[in-house]
Amino acid sequence: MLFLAVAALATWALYAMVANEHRAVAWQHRAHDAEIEANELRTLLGARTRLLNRRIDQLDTLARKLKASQAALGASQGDVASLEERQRELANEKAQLEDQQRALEDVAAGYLTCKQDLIDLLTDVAAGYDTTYAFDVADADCGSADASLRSYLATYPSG
Amino acid sequence: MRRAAQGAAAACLALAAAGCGGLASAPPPARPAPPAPAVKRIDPLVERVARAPVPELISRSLRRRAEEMVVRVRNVSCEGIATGSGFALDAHTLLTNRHVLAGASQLEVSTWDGHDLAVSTAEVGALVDLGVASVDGTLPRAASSFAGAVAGEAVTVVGFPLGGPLTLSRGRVVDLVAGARLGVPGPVLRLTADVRPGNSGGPVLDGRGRVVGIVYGIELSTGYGLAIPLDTLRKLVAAGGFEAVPPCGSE
Repeated sequence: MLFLAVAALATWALYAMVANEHRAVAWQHRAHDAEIEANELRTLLGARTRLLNRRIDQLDTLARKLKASQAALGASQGDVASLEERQRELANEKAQLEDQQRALEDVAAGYLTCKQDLIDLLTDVAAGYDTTYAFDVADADCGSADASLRSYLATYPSG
Repeated sequence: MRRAAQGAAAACLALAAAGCGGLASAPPPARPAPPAPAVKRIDPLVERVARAPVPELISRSLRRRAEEMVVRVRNVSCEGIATGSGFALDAHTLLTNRHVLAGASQLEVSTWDGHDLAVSTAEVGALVDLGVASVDGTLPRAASSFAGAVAGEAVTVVGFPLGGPLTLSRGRVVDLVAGARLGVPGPVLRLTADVRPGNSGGPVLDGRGRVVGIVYGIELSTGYGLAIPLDTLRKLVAAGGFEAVPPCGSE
């Protein structure tokens, strides 16, 4: 009887021991697999991080280039603005000069008329004609030319 | 009997030891992978550059478009030189005021950048202060969009005040008043923008660069600039009534 009890206990102990060892080995295998997976993930993470860092470096480089381009664009825009401002000034100066030129042409035309009137008057005087009309015409036209010149000088004091 | 029990126990232990030895051993530990490098910090410059607005090109700016649209008109008449403004309706036609063109023996048009264009034909409104001229050559830019104006709206008057450089004068629409006593058969815009002699014929633009009217005078009692609004302008142009430019001294 005792023999049977000892044998049963020993069998149970043997079974328990074997089962536990099987479980332990299974867990060891799982742990090993998990460790391999973790290592693979760690390797992948390392690769991804290195790639990300390269992208960040590229991004930084591109940002610096873009900033330089923006600065260059700003400078170019400033140059263009300066040139355009100068062009506006020159266009205005040109327009003023043309106004003055047209006004001077008007004055010159008045004096040309005055001159012709005086020639006509002298011709009439030399011919012994009545110069009343020619004198009045010359007087009016030359007066008008003088007024035109005074107006011109008032508008353009520097001549 | 005791001996038999001891023998059985010994047999069991031997069996257990044999069982243990028969099990598979655990795998060797995996070699650990090197730790991942630290993630770099993105330079704050990236965000600043990404958020920085790209400035509009000068050649596309509202100011530049307004400048290109407007011309300086020189009127050479028996009474001397007078100047005004105008703006292009198309590549060869410009709109201005009757009093800018009236009495001219010679009309000349200059663009913002100093190009001169000769006027080939000109007509003026018989009953309203409007004038239309055609030029030889091409005007830089025609007014492409038009709109109505409302009281309080921000506007810009573009032109050549006193015959000087091209200016953009900002202000607001005060109101729309009946134009009969101001020489226009229809509503008239009153503006706070600085309007001077020489601005006549220049456009009034809204905030988007659309033409909302044409300057034609100054209200002496208030100093407000006066402009013919787009609606009145359309009616007047549609009604026709344009005639040849009156000769010098006739007005």
